[in-house]
Amino acid sequence: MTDQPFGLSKTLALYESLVADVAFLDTAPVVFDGALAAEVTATLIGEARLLDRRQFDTWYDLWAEDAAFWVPLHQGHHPARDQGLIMDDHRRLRERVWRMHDTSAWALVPYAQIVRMVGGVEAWPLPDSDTDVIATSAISITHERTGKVTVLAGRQIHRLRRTDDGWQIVRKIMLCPAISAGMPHLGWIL
Amino acid sequence: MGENMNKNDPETNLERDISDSLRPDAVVARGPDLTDEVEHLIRKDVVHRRVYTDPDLFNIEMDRIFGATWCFIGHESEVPEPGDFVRKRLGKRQIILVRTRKGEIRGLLNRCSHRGTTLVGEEEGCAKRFTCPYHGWAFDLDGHLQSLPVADSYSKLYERPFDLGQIKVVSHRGFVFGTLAAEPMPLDEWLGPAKLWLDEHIDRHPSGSIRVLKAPIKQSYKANWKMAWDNAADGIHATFAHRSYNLLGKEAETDTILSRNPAVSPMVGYTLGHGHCVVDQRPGIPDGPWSTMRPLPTREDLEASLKERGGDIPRETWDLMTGNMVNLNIFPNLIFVGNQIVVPEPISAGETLMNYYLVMADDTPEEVNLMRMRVDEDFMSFGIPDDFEMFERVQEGLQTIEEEWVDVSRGDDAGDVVDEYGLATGDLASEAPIRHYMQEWKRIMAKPIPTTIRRARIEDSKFMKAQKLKAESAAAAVAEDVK
Repeated sequence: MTDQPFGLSKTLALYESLVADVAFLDTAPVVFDGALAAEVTATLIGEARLLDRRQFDTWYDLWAEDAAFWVPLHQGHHPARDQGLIMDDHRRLRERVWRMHDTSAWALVPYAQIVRMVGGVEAWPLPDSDTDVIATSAISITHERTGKVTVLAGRQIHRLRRTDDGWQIVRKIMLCPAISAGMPHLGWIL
Repeated sequence: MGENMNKNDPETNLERDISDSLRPDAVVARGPDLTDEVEHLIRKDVVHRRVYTDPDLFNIEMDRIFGATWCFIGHESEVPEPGDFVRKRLGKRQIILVRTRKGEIRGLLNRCSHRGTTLVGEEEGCAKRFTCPYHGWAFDLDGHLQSLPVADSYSKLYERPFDLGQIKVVSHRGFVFGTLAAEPMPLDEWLGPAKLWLDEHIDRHPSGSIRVLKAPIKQSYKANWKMAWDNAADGIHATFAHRSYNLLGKEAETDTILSRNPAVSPMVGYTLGHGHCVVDQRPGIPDGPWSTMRPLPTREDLEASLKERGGDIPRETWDLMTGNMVNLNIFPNLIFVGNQIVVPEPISAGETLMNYYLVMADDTPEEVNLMRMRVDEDFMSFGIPDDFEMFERVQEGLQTIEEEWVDVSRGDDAGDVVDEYGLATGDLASEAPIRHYMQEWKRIMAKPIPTTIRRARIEDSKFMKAQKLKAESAAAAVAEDVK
């Protein structure tokens, strides 16, 4: 749309494309690209391990500059029309990492024990990109802190970028059904 | 009343004439007289721990405070067209807030008048009628019973009215309040001076028009609903509980609203009657609300976009993207913070579900509403978890039964100014708002409150017609005697 100011168009285009990534799941070829999936699986389970082990700075280095991390309240939601739980850019991801280390973040200290289990990784090349691919996986997260356990399952959708230094995370979307029902705060989720 | 005694449970100890509640127009006041009890629990400057922990008191709260008192139900903009409905709660009761064919707003009990099935399971939707999935009874949007299968299998049909039960609803500028009280005080009187603050909240939006997004962020904490209430007007916690949020702001060279020194802050709080209160933070932020915001996702793009539209963007437009820095709290379940409407939903004495609805502005550049979403997600991640942590820690601390009292005396005879109506003005550190709503809690909880269920056609029921006939013939007999 040419009559829109550039900044608005850019923002709306990002949001449309996030929604398109979710919709892609419904039209993606039934049989995924096995070789590609095997390749990106290492990045996805590596990401989970880094987060579980609190290696947040290493994890942050995985992200591309044009990062977007979106956790909608409901899988049918749209970031331009609905509030989400998380809609982060590269800078806010940095702030989340900062908070993970902040000893006055009372909701996060003492530190939680977390295990993320990633499975069912599928991946497809994106027709309009030489570098970016899309991957989806199921994730199960068990979180324990101060004797309370939170269990959460979700579907992840990653956009990954092939670089000379390996795969970068460009986007990550987490669809977690329990969020729409109401659950303890997810101030720790990454 | 002890922690584990059921004798005061309104479900099991009904001090009333049971036959009475069969009447379609029954007015019933449930539960025990607690006058002495609440006198003991709520003192001037201290509150008993059981106010937060006792499940028996919680059950009575669900009757008297979340039932027989005006509660916020929803906003009219959530149901813009006839047939639109949203599923809400009044205490434990499910309410279908619906717009009728005539455009009126009704609060129907989501409970089939036959065997009790909830009629809708969706959080929101649009319907021509509500049909019970169990036996096929159908009700129109006004709650009238429209049809039921095999009607001739009833010999006593309409002896009791089968129209859906309703709560009384009254709107103030789109904000819908509801109650089951038989004779509620007028809503205007209930809101009192809080109404002016509510109006101001609405009027800062262009054309005085707002739109509430239907899907709230729902998050629960393991503590009493009143923890949220204690916190809502507590200025001093912001410096300490939100230390992390404030440090994060400093990283970005931003003085967040919460980072001000409470000892010297010119921010001010007022109690407004009936438990309502407001904290006006504006005196502490001469550069306006927008100046307190860190860089946020899409901010640079949307700022540039607004500037590209040309002309001077008035400060009000920038400030519209963040909250107005006036935290208004309308007892017992309507909290304004940022651009969100926060509705605490009590689950049990030790658990609460918080509903964060986002308010959108009408007649404003699209950038403003896009920014509003990213602004309110910020505190959800970086602020609210630390609040919840405090609520849960207080609830855990209150499990020490020998330490009976919670201190809420700050500001009393030490800075608070009380006017001739008993309303207090205090600085940011004052706990006058807590003392204020606790007095209202005490007033409401002291005695059983008469409640009644509204229905569309009570007068048309055979029961009421028979009553009327009986009354008429009795009157005729008296007249005959007089002759």
